[in-house]
Amino acid sequence: MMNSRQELVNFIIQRLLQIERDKGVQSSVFGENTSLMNGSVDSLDLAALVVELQQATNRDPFRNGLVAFDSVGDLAGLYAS
Amino acid sequence: MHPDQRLTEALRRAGDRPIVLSGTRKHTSATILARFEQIAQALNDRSTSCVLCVSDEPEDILACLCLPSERVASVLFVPDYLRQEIPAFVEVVGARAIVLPGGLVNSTNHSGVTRDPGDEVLLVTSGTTGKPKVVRHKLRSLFARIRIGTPDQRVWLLTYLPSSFAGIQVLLTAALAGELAVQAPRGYPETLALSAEQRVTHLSCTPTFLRALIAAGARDSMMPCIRQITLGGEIADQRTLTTARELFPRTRISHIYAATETGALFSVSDGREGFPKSWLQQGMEGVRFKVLDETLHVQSSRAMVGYAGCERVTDWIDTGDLVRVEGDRVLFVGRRDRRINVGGTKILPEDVERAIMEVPGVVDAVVTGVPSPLSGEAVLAEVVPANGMDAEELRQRIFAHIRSRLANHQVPRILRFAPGVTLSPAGKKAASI
Repeated sequence: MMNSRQELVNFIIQRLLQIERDKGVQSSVFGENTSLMNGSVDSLDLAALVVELQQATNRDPFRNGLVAFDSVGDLAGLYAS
Repeated sequence: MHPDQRLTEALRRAGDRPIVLSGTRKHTSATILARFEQIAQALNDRSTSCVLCVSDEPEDILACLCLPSERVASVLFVPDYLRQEIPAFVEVVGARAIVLPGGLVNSTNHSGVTRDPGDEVLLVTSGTTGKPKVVRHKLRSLFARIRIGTPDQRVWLLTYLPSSFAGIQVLLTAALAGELAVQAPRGYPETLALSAEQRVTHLSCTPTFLRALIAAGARDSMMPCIRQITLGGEIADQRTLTTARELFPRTRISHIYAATETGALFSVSDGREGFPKSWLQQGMEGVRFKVLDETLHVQSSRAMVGYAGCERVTDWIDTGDLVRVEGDRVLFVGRRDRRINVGGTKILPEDVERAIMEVPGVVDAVVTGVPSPLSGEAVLAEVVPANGMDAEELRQRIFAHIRSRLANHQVPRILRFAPGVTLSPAGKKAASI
């Protein structure tokens, strides 16, 4: 089970690259500070990404309602222990 | 002879003929009747008009099917995977006895009044979308669409759970005609080998089962005796029907509409998916149809009497099957209870599955909704690739194809490959996660 922030950042970046491959668009350069709210990733991609993060960590930071996040690092931070 | 006694009469006529092959065990008419007598004797000292049969053994199923006509005892068939529900079932039907594998009979501690008239066969729904319900059928309605009297001896492949509606139909058909039903083993290659060895002539299965069998190599030459393939339990899509036609050019291929609640209603053998639109007005085989809110409703004398514990006698049955009229055809498009809510928009997983299965190299696909805090549900696809396919290459081909066929919100955001489709106890496709 993933716990560390860095593991989660890597997991999210791998998933973002896969999303771009699935869409047949040119790969972007993703880093911890990359915003998730623009580019080729849409809201449904994000909805699926949080499902996969929940399955990988067994944590649900949205349990009590929506939580704001913008970057790859923000999202990883929500699931890090 | 009372029509409901046809089963015991047929078993007596058949003498020592094998009726069921289950693993290494061969059950003859005589052993099934002996099992029935054993159960009936054990029931004699119990005041009961309804018993539970908690067994997936074909011999127990057939023996208990003799009870309504011979001992005026209704029987509720409970598949083994619902064993934990036994206390609830005992309460609902007022059962005083339980038949267990091997024909063992136990008493229950139920002391209430049994309301069942004692001449019914009760079945449970699969319970995939909630608590399983007990469905009441008259014994004669289970016999109604069974046709016997063909000149050639048939050998049936039993792919369904023996205690399900479909399983009982196959067992009854074989037993009434004194023919053999061969229970499919676990594993598709093993099923193919057994089918060839036992010279199976009739295959009755879900489309998902057939696709997996075809992926394992099923074709005319592998099943040389096959004369009839009947698809049921799920949508028989055009692609599956066409593939079956190509691989089994000498075989009659049909799809049947049957469900636990509706009973066996009609079959279609013209090689096309859905059924003729004209049936909506004219009816077919004693069945009347109407479409309300895009959902098929049916009325038939072969349908259930009602649900146990519920006084209401059903008339029109809401099948939960969504249909669309296209040209001269009524097409099944999906199940209402499988719809996925993506950001407030409902999508049909069957639409997505069909699009994925159009891609060469895909054997099958299961699409489900996974709860997501951001969109209600996210669309997940589990895809079974053909042997030897490069996973990444196939993945790109799938997405390239479905993006041209589906709206953006229908496109799965999670796609995983799986070695095979997980089947529900009813033989229908089920998500593995």
